[in-house]
Amino acid sequence: MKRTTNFRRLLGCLVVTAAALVGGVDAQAASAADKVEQLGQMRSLEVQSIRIVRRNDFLNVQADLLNTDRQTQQLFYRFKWLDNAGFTVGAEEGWKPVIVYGNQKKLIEAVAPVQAATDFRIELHSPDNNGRPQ
Amino acid sequence: MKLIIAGLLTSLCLTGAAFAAPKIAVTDLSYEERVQEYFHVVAAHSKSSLKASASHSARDSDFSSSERGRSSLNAKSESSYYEAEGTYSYIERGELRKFTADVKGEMLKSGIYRVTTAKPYTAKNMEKLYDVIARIKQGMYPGADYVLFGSVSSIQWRDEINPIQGANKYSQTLSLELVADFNLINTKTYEVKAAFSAMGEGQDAKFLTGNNRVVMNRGKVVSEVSKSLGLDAARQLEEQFDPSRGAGTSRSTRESSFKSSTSSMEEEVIILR
Repeated sequence: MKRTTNFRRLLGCLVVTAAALVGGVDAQAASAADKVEQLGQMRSLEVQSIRIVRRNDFLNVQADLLNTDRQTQQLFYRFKWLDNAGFTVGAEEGWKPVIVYGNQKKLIEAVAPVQAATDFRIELHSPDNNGRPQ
Repeated sequence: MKLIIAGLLTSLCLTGAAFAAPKIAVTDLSYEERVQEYFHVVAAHSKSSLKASASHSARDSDFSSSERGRSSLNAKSESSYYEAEGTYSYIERGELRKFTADVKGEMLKSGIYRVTTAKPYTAKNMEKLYDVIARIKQGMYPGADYVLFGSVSSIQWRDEINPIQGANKYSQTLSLELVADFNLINTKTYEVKAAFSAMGEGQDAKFLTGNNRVVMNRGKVVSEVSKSLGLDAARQLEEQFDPSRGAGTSRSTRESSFKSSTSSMEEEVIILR
């Protein structure tokens, strides 16, 4: 009986590992929050979802942002592209400014500069909206 | 138990003896193309000559004096000019000695077929290129039970530059698409055992960020085309002609395989929340 349970556990582990290997990008991150790096903790802006697709061998990313406040928020963002080994690839991007009006949903999107990019991080910075990091 | 194992082994031996892998010769892909050429001919010829002569004589004596003079001028000029322009077209036939290696490779991988070498078509008279029966009779496929005769239906290179949505940048794509028709012909009865068209495609994409100049990887594109053509051709050949299976595949199997091949071309979108 115990042997059967162990075997089932092992099988379960194998299935999970296989699913992680096949999944690629999504396997490395369970949620959108894992892809976002904030400079401070933003109170009013939140990343609701991130869509990832590989087109013509380039990674395309689109993030869905929501301003939960009624006030207009200034946001700066940039993408960091990583290869299979987790190293950054491509030149460092400049910060891009975006204005997100009160209760507005905003899409930000980017295309990886090189085909080697298989993963990414979105750096977000909202100077008037930052609380203390938790 | 022993009896069952023995029975299984015997049946396996019997099926192994009954199935002999057919020998197939794969021809180079033949093509036919209408070629149009523009011509412009200019011919000019000019000839001129000038001849002048003068003679003068004078005679003077105590009693008489005479003077005689003669001059002549002869000029001749001749020119001709000819100009013509137009187009003339002709049909060019030949064999593309590429792209079939992977077809043969995939056929060998399946283990159902054996591949023999076909003699290339080197005759000057290209009119007979598509006459497969004549080529079989000439013995261009020695030892082959079947000939997989392929001809190019369409071949197109594309070099495109497209803007990337949401970024002030461009991606340059070099791609090649090749579609070929294949007919599997029995060398004894000339019966067509399988007929299909297969497509191979390959592409190379590079990112343009303003001033950088990129050189596309043509070898990668050709290799991808060859590999995908080989896969597609071998898959369809196996669907239609598989002597190890005996009967042909059911329509449902074919439909499911078609669906799987089309679904693999769809984009895989990952959504993180």
